[in-house]
Amino acid sequence: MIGKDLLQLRGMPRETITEILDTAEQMREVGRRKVKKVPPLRGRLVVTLFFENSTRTKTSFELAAKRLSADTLSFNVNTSSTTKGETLMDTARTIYAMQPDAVVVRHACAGAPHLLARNFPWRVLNAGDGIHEHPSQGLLDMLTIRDKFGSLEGRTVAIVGDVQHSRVARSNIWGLTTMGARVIVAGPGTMCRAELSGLPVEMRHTIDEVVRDADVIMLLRIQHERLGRGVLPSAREYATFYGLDLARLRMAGPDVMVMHPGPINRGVEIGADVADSAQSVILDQVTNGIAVRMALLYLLLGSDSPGAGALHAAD
Amino acid sequence: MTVVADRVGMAAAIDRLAEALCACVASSRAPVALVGIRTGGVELAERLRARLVAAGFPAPARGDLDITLYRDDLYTGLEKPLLGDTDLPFEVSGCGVVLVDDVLFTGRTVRAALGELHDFGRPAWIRLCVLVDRGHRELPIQPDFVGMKVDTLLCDRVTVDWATDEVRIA
Amino acid sequence: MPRIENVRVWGEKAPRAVDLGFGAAEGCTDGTGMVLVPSFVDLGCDPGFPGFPVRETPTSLGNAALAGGFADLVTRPCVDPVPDQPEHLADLRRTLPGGVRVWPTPAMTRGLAGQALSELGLLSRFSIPGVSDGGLVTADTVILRNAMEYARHFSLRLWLRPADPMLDALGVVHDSPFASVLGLRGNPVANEEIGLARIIALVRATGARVVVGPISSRVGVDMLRRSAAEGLPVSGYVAARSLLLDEHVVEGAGHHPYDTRVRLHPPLRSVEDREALVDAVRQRLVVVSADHAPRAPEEKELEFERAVPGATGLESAFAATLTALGGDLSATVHALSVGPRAFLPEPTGGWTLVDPRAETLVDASSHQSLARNDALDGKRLTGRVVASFPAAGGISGARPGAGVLGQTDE
Repeated sequence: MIGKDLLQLRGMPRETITEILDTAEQMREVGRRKVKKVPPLRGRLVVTLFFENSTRTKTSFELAAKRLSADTLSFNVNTSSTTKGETLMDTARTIYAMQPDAVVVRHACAGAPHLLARNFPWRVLNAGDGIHEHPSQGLLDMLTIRDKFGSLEGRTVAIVGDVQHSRVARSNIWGLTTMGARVIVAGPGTMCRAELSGLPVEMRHTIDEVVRDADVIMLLRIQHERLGRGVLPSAREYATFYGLDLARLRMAGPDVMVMHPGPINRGVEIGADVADSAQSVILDQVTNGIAVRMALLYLLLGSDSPGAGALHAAD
Repeated sequence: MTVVADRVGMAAAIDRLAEALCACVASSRAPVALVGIRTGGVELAERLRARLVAAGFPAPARGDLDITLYRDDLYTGLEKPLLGDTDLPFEVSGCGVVLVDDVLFTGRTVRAALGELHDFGRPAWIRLCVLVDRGHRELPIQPDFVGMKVDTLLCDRVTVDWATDEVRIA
Repeated sequence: MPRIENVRVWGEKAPRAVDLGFGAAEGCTDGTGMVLVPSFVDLGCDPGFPGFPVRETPTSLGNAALAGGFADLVTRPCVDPVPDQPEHLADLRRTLPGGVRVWPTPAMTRGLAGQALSELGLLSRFSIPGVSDGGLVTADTVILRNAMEYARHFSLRLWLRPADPMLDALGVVHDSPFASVLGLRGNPVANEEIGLARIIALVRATGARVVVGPISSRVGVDMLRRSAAEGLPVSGYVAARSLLLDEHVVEGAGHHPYDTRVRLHPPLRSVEDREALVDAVRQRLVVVSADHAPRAPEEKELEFERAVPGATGLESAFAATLTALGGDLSATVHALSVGPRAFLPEPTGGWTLVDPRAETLVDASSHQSLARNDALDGKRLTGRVVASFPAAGGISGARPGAGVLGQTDE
């Protein structure tokens, strides 16, 4: 059973992950209908509170909420008063007064969603906290892999790139290994530091080593702000040593699946020809993202939930 | 636990439904589809389809509805039911739809099914076909075709066992 | 005049009655099982005043010190205005309500900016424990060396936090596999190692006397051990809480995930580091500080990375140290009292009544400090401070030579 909030995939039991993925499969069917809307969250308010720019994740959550008939309200750091020095808790108090049932939060600091979850009775969905986790992305990636292979058990997933600074990687690593998959990672020393040994991964040095063994190759986006700060000398250097081009892709098995959380940097972490190849499931990931987020909202809000509205009424 | 209809009683009830359904199909100008409400209505819809074919009618379209997302009791603290498939592989608009369920009780499931059906299109007409009407309606919903009527208490549980072809009250 | 029966006095064997020249034992008249020990000294106190009335006031700090058995507080200059001139000292050198004495360490550089030396000579005319970097690392090694050379002539101690200026700004928790799991940026042990190496090298070159702390790592205490063996005048202290807590409290065990009460600088480190700190205290290589850093709720009710580092400690330091040392009262008194007293510019003579067998449940909400950010909140510890007699001086009825500082309790 899913808990009060969705904060991280670390520690989430296998049965809960299975329940979410199974529910997401049903939600995908709703997306194929002519009327892509079902009523279970009618009258519920879902707030998206984004302290970092992200069009994709935000619209995906909002679309998911709308397909379940919830109302959505969106707060962005640029338009809200946080730029005037308001603290996260004060912003949260203001939003809480609008009586939302769930808050989807993205924040540059690890643990920010935990702070909101601990201090308010609403449901919190972590849409990315610093370099900690991005659980809905991990789940949608797992759904995409499960679609193709039937099960995650025994599969080998290679994650290539800036694992150290990737919340997508962390969520995938915890979720995948809970479901019985093996995760191998490769990247430059600054991006795959020895301290990653705290995560259930096997570390390799070169992309060639992981590509050979992988059923799935998950490429991480190179953040341009990492360039020039000593983490990475240049995009060209990264492409040379860790970019996935067709030549490297051929070293993998013919059934290998190539994933990317987007947005992609063509010619850096992924060759343009690879992004458009049959092995690429990048667009399936987008579709599955909506289904997974519908499942999460439905499971968190769709039953007797101690939503903020109910608590306000009881006050 | 009481058996209120055995194999023989069930067969008679299904005969009654099949007969009424044949008349309905024969008189309909619109193409007819049998839509089972998950999960109890699916088996009944299958059997009725077979009876229609046996009676010489062209096989009607089949579909199934999972009404979980349309339930009005999602927030009442009950254990959340697992989602099932809704599968309507035909054009709903312009179709005559026979909603099929095993037991008709409060009418809330049918209300949810009507709501869901309308999200898929505008049917020419809808009829309701149930094997057992156990009474205690809470909404103004009545069946068009009834296999059998059973007197029950509000707290009774009525189950249709499709393996043994029995209707039981517990 | 309060009189306590059946109390054991530090340095003596048999319990007896004691008349205290000053202070009150709050109704305590039977001292059975209790020990009267030399009052404690905090070497790393962030006073909160002037400038931060939401953190602490003279009254709240004095009461917190008394509740924790501390009669003397060596305070850091991280207050507003930064005390970097003799004129500032008049206001800072004071006796708090209750008799607790404050020993300010003025800023080593003007405004703690690390760019220009304060008037160390003029400052040295006051009775101060030394001058301090306020926990802010002096990035310019030339300035640091000049401060050492200059201070040596005035016999001024330098109070420094060992860190590398660039690495120090990097992380918010111990850099480890666990930090990687939490997705928090790590502060590596190398930060402390580089900082200490720089200080030790300059001490070797200049002969200045320095106090470094809080030391947080095994590498750090090993370096202190080597510098002590070499005879260098480098002393160190550790924070009491770091003897009990390790990096893993950031999640679980009485703390919620990303609990900002354990947002500390330097961070809590690994289990091995913690054990090394305890060993160093047992070996009397380092002393223990309450490392009292009061923070207002609005400074802590924040994202982990953005919370102001620091935790209160005065009211839990004794029990924390005693618990970490396995109930060894002798080592505890050395670590909190006998050892730190050597760093005060004047002798001090307070007494603290403790019950070494009583259990303490740390409850920050009932603390005397204005702040509630004790990292040990909720912990059950061994040892309790019963009463403090900060200005008691000698105690009547004491046998000559008994209770003299520096004696061990054998």
